[in-house]
Amino acid sequence: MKKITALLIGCPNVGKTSLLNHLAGSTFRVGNFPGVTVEKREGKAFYGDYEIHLIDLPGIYTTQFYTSEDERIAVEFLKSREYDLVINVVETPKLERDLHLTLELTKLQKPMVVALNMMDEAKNLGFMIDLLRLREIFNIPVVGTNGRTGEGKEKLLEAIIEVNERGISPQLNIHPSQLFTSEDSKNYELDSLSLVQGIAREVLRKKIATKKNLTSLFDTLFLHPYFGLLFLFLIFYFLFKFVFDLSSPLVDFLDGFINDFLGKGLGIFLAYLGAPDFLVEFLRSAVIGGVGTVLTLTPVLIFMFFFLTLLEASGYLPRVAFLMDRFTHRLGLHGHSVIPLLLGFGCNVPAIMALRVLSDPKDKLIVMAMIPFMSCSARLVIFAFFASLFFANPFLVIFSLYLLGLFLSVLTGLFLSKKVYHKDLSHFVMDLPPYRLPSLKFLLKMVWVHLKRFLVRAGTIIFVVSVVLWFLLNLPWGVKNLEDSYAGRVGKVIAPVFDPLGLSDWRVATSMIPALLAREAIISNLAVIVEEEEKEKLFSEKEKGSPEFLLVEELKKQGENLGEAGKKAFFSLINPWPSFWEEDEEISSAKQKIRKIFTPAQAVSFLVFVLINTSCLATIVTMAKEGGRKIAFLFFFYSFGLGWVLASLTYQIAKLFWS
Amino acid sequence: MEDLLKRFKNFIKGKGLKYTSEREEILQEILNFQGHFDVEELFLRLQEKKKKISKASIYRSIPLFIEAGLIQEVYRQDGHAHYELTVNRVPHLHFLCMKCGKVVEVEDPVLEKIIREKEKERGFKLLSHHLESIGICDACQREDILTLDKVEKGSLVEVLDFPDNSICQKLSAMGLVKGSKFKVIQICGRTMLLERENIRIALSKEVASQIFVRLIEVGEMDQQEEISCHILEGQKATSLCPFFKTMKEIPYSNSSEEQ
Repeated sequence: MKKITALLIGCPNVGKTSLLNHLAGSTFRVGNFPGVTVEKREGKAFYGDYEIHLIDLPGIYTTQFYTSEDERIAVEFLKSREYDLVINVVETPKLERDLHLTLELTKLQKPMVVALNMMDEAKNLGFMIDLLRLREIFNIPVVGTNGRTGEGKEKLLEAIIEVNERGISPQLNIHPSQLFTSEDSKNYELDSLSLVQGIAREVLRKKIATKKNLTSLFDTLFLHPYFGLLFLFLIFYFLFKFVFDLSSPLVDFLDGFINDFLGKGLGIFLAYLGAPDFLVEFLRSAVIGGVGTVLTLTPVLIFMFFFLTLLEASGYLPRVAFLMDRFTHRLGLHGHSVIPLLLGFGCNVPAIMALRVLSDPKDKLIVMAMIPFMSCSARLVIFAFFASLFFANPFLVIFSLYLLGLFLSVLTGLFLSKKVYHKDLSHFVMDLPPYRLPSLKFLLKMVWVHLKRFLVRAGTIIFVVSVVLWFLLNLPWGVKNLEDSYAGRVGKVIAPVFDPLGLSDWRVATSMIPALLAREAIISNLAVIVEEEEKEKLFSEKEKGSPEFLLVEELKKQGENLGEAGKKAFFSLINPWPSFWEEDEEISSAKQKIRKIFTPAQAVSFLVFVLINTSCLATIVTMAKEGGRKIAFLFFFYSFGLGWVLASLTYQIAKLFWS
Repeated sequence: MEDLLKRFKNFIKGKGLKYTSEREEILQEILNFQGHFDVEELFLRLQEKKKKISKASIYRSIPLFIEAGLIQEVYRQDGHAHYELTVNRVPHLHFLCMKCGKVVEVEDPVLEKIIREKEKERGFKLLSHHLESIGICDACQREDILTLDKVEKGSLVEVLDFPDNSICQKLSAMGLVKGSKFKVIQICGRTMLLERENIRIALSKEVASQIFVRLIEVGEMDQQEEISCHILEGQKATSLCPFFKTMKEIPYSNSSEEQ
């Protein structure tokens, strides 16, 4: 099998990663804004006798220079690394703009293929492109593709192989006199600008567009100086409302299903098989209690990622950047920095990576310190779990927590820009793509990618943490009182630190330590601990003989619950107000037990602490990699200190209301 | 004034013509009205005062006034002549804007001195002066070629030039090339949104101030929108006053009618 290394090069947001996903069957994140890909991505495609190693690089407008980190990666790779050929991806509706880059790439004298991407959009705009003529002009294969559907994929692969076998390098096959009328052609020493204009005129025919341009209509609404802000608020309000209202009935269902059905069933089944007590207890506490409780919150993540992906793919994010510029510039930042902040709602790690698009290193550091205050999906999981357990209107609690995070983020940014870096205003230049509606298939695929990552984490880190905690709770072996176990002793040592926060319970303190690996572990740990406390009761129950467990009937009951949950979720869609929590008698035993650990005041203080304290190893490591160890180290202590102080304050105030 | 009327009366009589009340009324109107005028304007003024004088008689009288040394033709615009009073005026130069039609009078003692000197030198008896320079006034120059940040929403501009720094080069690579035409479709705070075909570029005014453009079509920003922007920007109330804005604009938009 012969190997080819091919680079995907093109302007930002032309669909390079989409093409890679189709060619190599990969599932890299794509979106509709410039700067989605900020690092090298790789994939392999097999065609005929060839293994094609595809390298996708961040988008660049020119090879002449770079203004930011992501562009540097692409330009340097292009100029100094070894590769066989270049696939120049062109956004066909912006053909003239992209041909500048094509022209620059021809000067590299490397074998090259041009992929005219977004052919469908170009057709809707009434563009007709003479592919043969373009091929003639540059002397290289030109293929029409569609990154949305994967159309033209085979032709592109064929072209890659053709170019590689015959070593076709681009060669400008056109004399300026062919492009211009006699009047223009006096200056044969043409600059590339007029050359590109000439080529575009030569190959592009425009019909009157048949479809209406929705982008300008949307932009008059969404970019309106004050209606735009209203829409921004509404969009985010409904995003959170839908995420919460759609998921909470399903979370309740899963809670019942995993704890009452799977947990109970498994216990009885194992007892029937005659498994040893400690194994039954291990599976019940560590697996069902720990991992299972975290898994009950999967619907929250599914809906959150669904809507976030929709936002990213629609092209709305750059509009938010445009709208917010007038506020961010008071922080000395330009609007572009809003995009990484919003990406932080999904996960802080890629959000920090996305800072590479900012050209000013000071901007990068300021926004880097702001991102961790944006509640990521892992924190949402904890918020959703606790808010619905302790408060009458969980939506309001979660929304306020998000706003508090936003507020602290702005405050941190303000402090850094005015007091530490003394920032001047920086320039803002950005390409606003047209709005695009992603297909449902694409959305589901992206949700699945995120979900898979969550499930893997639940199956590995959270599982391991639960198992280790279970052992520590049972060591020294046969310990009667959990407080005397190793885990209990460790918890008791650090518990006084959390005393002012109202969280002096060793069970809470112990749960928070492993949260550094995965925040969701807080929930699994608490679940493991409360399940362990109940083990005495479990055995006494068992002595009385197995409780009745009828599989068919239980399944029927679960089916009914699911139907009920679906109905609730559907109706919440129609209601514009966030739904209120109805006192639900049927919450699982684990949840009830956790409810006993906290008073509402303690729960608020706990949530505030979880929001602010950056107890996420991945975030800290990424910060160190992108911004240096010093800032990562300082930030870790800053966020802990800030979280500690504010949570203590919250606790003291909340105590006045709830006692 | 009486003096001038007498002078004109004598002039008419010396020519052997009849001194009519019509002619006197026209002259009186001209004397009352300081500044440049044309026949149409004079006619309308007389009509306003309920004087029944035909345009034809105005046309017939004008050459007489000129001959009497009372008025002179200053310049021709839109196919007809404009006049001014010569009496009690020193020789002066007219700067005439060919774009907006604005006329500026330039008086300078040096000018008069030169004319008097040459008059003596050549033994010439001067009656009236007709000095006219044609060009583009400063306002029109500014309106035509300006930096992008000064352009109002809805305007169509042609990109002319920008410095060679990296941010402008990047803009150029993004499609904002020299010679291309862009429409300014939204301005808010310090950010502007430009559009050309399928390309939409957002940029801050700091960057825009480095880019020179030619204004092709002027757009008006919605007053309300501007106010809301200013409020969000936290700017002073004086700049919000709609009156302030209109006042500033008068010399640009109404100048041609005034002449």
